[in-house]
Parts: sequence; structure tokens; C-alpha cells
Amino acid sequence: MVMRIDSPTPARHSISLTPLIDVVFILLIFFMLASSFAKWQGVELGVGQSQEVPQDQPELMIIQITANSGWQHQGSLISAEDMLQRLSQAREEAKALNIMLQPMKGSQVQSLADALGLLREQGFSKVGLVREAS
Amino acid sequence: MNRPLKIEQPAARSQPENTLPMINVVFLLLIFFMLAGAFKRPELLPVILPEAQGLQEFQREELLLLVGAEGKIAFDGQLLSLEQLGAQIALHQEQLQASGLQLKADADLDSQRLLDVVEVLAEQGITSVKLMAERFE
Repeated sequence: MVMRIDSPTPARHSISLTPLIDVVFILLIFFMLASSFAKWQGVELGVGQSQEVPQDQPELMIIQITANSGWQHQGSLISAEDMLQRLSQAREEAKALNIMLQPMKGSQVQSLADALGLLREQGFSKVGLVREAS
Repeated sequence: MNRPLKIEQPAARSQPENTLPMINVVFLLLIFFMLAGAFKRPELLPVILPEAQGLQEFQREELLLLVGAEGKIAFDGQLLSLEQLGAQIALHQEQLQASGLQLKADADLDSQRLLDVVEVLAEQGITSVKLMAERFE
């Protein structure tokens, strides 16, 4: 008697890739939606002296921010360029320059951030925040 | 001359498209998003950050103070009033005094409200507040 052995089929059936692609697509979409590429950045704000304004310091500069994002110094409106010029001048004269931003009533955080960013760009990194005297 | 027109029969079955290059690309994209993207943390308040120049990059901290456009305050996963904020800050005082507090304030927030919040922080001895912003385009 001759034993007959079934030989295996030569070409194996390949695994279907479709379910795999489905899963990978779902993962891809999940990671695309759930991840954020926003940079974590901002400006530093010194708040140590927000309680009271230190008086009689020659190197203290108080910059007021008006409701329409203007800058005001010693009661008069001033352009940002003029202000930066004055600040650089004051920095040359006094070693420790103390800059305080004073947002006036009706001003918004955006104009405060503008001012802080501009000052930081010009190298005035220590800027405090102070409330308007009522 | 009457020759019969010969029309070539299209192949009965078109070859199935090769999906391997597509899978390769999709895998690459998947790996890119997995590695390069940090997970967004859900936040209690919608905050539109102000835009500014001269920004500094910070390490992402766990504790984040949110102040919405209407002045609502959220800290450490809960909505708080100004009075409650002081107590909550006090719980994390040491950590915050060392690292500073990251503050996300809405661009349209009234700055007087920001001053209120900042004064509460100063009472708790937090001297450095990082006002988060987006790069000015």
C-alpha cells in the first residue's frame, strides 16, 4: 500500500492588510487630533511690589498703559519709541532701573502683553506691575 | 476595403493597487505625530492668549492658572473665586515660590482683574508670574 501525503499548497495565502491599515489610520487620526505643537512661551512679570509703589527712587520709571493701548509717562502720552529711548537713557544713568507698568482702567491684557514683550525685546527683562492709585 | 474594426478588450480584472507604499507613509506619519506632538491638556476655561514679541520659552508646568475673558479663575483643575484662589495657592506655595507660576490670561481680560489676581499671588509670596502668550506674527 502506498501512503499518500498531501503536499501543502505551495503559495501561502497572504495576510489581509486591510484591518491593519484601518487600525493604523485610526491611531494616526487620534494622535493628529490629540497632540498640540503650540510652544509654551510667555513673558515674565515681577509682582513682588505690586502692593505699594516705592516712592522717591530716582531710577523708578512708571509707564502707564492707557485704555487704547497707548503709553503714558508722567501724565503725558508718549510713543513707544520715545519711551524706549528714555528707558535706555535712564538705564545708562542708573545701574538698577526699576520699571513698573501701570495698566489704567479699561486697558486689556493684550496691551499689557504688547508692552511686556516690547520691553523684553529691548533687554528690559525685569518689569513689575503696579495698580493705578485710586 | 471593409476590414472589421479591432477593439482591444480591456483586461478583465485590473491589478489590485499596491498598498504597501501607502502603509509606509501612514506609519511614518503615525510615528511622527506620536513622537513630536505633546498631548493637549484639557483646560477648564477657554483662553485666547495675547500676542507678544520677545517671548521666552518655558518648561511646561503641571500647575497653571487660567483667567478667562470674563474674569473667571481656574487653578489646578477647579473653578475658583478670588478668595478661594489664595487658599489653593497656599497649598502649593513652596513649589510655586521656587518655580514661579504660569498664568494664562485671556487677551480681552480687563487688566484690573489681572491686577486683582496678581495681588492675591503676591500675598502668597509668589514673586514671579509668567504671563503666557503667543508669538506676534
